Amino acid sequence: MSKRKTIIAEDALVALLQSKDQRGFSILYDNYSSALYGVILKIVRSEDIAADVMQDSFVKIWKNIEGYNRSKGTLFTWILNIARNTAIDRIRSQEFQNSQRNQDIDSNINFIDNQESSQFDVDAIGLKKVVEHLRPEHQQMIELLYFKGYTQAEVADEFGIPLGTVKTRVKAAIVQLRQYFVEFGLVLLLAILDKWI
Amino acid sequence: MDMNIKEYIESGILESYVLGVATAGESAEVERLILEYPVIQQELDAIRNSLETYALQYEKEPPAFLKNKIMESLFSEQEGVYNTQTGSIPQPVTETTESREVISLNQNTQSSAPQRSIFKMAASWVLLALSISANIWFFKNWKNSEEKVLALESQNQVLAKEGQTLKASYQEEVAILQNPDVKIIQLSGQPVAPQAKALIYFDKTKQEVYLSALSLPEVPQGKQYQLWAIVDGKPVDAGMIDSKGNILKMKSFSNAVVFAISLEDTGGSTTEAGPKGAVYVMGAV
Repeated sequence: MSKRKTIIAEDALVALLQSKDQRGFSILYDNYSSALYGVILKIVRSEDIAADVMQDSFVKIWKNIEGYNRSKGTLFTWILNIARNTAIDRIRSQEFQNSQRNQDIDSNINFIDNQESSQFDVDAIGLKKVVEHLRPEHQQMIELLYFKGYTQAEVADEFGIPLGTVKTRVKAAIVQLRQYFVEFGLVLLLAILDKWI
Repeated sequence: MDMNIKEYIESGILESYVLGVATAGESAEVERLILEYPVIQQELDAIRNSLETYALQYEKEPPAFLKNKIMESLFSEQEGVYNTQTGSIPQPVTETTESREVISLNQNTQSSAPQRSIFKMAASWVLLALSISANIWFFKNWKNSEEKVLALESQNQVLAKEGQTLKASYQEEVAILQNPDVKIIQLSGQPVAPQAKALIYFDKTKQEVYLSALSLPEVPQGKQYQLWAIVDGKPVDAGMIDSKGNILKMKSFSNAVVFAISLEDTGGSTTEAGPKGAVYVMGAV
């Protein structure tokens, strides 16, 4: 099947999905599978499990799409959350079973450091450099909360950081992200202007 | 209250909410405040955008087989197993996972801003850049045009001056022609140039002599026509003819009886020496 992304109005796509139209799911897959798979893989760290979680995620999307409407945010937000939560549930159930949490946090963080170079596939426009500027403790907060599904209390517990500090760092990390993405836009703008003039 | 909302936004609860790690109480509070304060919704959208943009960095092409596998699990098997579209699908998804989707499934908010990815942001910046570039382009064009306008204006002034000069000279000519004191003398061609012609406007009272309607053979190199007035039986220099312009003012006379034009060497002859070259046209007053 084609890997090309299809340009389609989100409302039209949602309508196709809600009528369980095969074309809708095909377009959804073509347009979003890379984004979803990347996040899932980052969370579960195994291609086999990631493929499995992808499938589960699409089944959940299938099952719940009738309850989706625009007031719940964009379609992408919605399916990204399904994929993320499905992946987090998967590792959490595994981790609880194995009670390897402590060990795993450390290896996760090492893993994050090690895999960056291979996983930043979407770096065509210089985004990577922007995010590299995120302070390590801030990046760690995002990683743990967004990709590992830790609660702030759990992070505080595991790392012996006061809960208030965790909250402050999370806030600061996202503020930093927002700033960098704005600056990134500015850099892009200047680059374009530079060429033009 | 605004101040409290600001503090609330600063508190980090919204980030927790978006990350799905807010407590049930906090989530309920956020959802209640969204309805009351649009700024909370904006803030949530911005946080969500940032996180999603961040997540998008990890974009990775899934293995090729996966699409078919998933599509089959949704459609082929579904013919037999799921059959209907009512959604009663047996699947490996537990209920506990549903409850986590505070953000996505239970959220009950106003419509959220559609922009979410860096690509859209980049697109906005690109549009802005294009717009600025266009402005620069238009600005340059405008400056160009302004310079052209200035050039045209000065050109226009020159033309206006020329026009005024012309008008003045025509007014002068018309005044001469309409003056009843002015006598018009026709100078007719002589044997060297029978077709040659010229007109003299002679104002005896003002002692003014004008030469006009010259129709003389082309001046050869090194030669020049000269006007003579016959006064008291003798030719007197009445001035060199510099151009074939409309009306040439010549030297003043009151008692000339004949006017003639001769072809002389450049610079002409003197009254004392008299005309040396051939006479082309002549006429009596």
